[in-house]
Amino acid sequence: MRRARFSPADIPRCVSDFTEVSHGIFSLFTRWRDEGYTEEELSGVLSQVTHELDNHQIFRLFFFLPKSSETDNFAHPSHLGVLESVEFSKWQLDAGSAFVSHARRLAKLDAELVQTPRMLETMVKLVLLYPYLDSPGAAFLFLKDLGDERALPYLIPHVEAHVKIPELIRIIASEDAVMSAQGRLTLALPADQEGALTVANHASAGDLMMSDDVQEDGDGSS
Amino acid sequence: MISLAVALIDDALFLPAIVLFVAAVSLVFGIRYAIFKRRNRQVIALLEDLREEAGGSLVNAVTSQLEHYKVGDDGVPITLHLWSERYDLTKWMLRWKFEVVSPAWAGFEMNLDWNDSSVKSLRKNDDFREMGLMTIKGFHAFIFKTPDLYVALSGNDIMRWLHLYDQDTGLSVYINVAPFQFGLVNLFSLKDERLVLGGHLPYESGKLDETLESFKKELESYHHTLTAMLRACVDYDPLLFAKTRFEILDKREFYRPLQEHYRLALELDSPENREALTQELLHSLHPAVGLGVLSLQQWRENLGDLLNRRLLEILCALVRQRHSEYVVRVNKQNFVLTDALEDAFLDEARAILTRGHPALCE
Repeated sequence: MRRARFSPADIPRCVSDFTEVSHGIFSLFTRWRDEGYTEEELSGVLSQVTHELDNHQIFRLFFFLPKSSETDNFAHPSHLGVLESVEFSKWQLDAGSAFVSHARRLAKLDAELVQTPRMLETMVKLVLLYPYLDSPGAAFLFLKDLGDERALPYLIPHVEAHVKIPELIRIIASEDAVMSAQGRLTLALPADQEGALTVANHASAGDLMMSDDVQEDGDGSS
Repeated sequence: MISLAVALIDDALFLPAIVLFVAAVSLVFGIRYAIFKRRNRQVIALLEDLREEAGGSLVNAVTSQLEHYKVGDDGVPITLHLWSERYDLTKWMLRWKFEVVSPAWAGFEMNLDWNDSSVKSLRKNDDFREMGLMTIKGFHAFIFKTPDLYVALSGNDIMRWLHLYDQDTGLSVYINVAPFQFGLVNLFSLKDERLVLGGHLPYESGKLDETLESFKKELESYHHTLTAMLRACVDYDPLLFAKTRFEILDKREFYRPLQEHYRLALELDSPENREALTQELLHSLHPAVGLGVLSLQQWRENLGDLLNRRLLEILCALVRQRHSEYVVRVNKQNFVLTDALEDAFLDEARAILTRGHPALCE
């Protein structure tokens, strides 16, 4: 009988049966690729098991996922599913960095790929988990470089939770957006609605800075 | 000068001044001698207590010593030198030194080496084996030379070996490694059939009694160290030396020293035991040990028999080793990871087997 000892289909079984050493199987990615397994097959299986892996194993997963016979920076759009399946509950430098590095590889293929709600949510979570204040952290830099208004809904709820969040909102949007998120200024969007700009209770006159758009529209009131 | 001397001789106060000076000097020396006598009395009191228990003869010299007393069933004659000396204006030192001479130590040598230059020079010697629990640069190491091999061991390590050795003989022993850890033992050497163990205890002026009491509490431990060393060398067997240390090395995850111990055991053991040791390396010990000891050919011959879990364990060890190369933690590497070694396991892991594989049925 001819059978393979381990194929991608064996990953779920290995992870459940040999949990603590299951990440050894990730070193086979290159071999499997050379044998003709597709990235979709591989990614499909991996996205099923990430919730059972600890942070160290997540690091190993993203250490091997970009390795192929030709390059150490291989990425494929199907890897997005693997990234989106990862749930971080606590900080671990290697795992967080490897995750963000692979997201950047995908962004190089297509910057829009990584702008999904799930990815943005995970990136914000990594920013919140990042324990150091004297350095930016990989997820912060990712959002700073690649983030846009689509990240705001995930950032604004945490504006008081971490000193880096207002900084990111300021970079991605504006100072007004930070003040708005902090409850010092409430902006109702879209701006053409009546009463689009209202001042929160504890805002003082100096806290209000109207944007050019609002002034031009003539809808702003204070 | 001459005129000054004449003037002084002529001076009526000269004689009383001389008398006063001599008296003052005598007083100082007298007090010092009295203090010395008192200290010496305290030291000798301890030695007399020991003589009552263990025999020997007391030599009342500057370094008070009790010669040829015997402890334990082995009855090896020990000489203890014990004396106190000033360290600085406020501190004193109680110094001690044990000496044991025995033909049992013929062929053995040991030195306490405060830097690793001796280890470096010994590494050039083909017979040298570095078998310590750990090698810390700048940390003192013992060079232990037996009739068969040289080994470099840390102070703690050799204490543990002696402790383990005595456990094997079924004797209840207490060996306190703290004095070795804190540098209070600064002499532990074996040469020309003479073992010397020495150290010091610093104390503040007037606290000799307490210091002697502390030393007395440690006496049993030092006696055990000396007798354990004797027993270890009388029955010395390099294979037993290696085997008694397997467990502790494994428990402490010191894989490189463990590799060296397995190599030695594989060289010296019987063919049947050698096979058992090989099986341990293949199937049960941490993969880093086996990967450092067994040849690629030995692994290739046994790849098919590895259980899936074991194969994954080995792949994890390879992954860790490969990553340690990436982050240049060379001193953390437990074995040499070659492409051929890695390929062997990766090929096995995704192998197309030509027969039903027992590992798949586990």
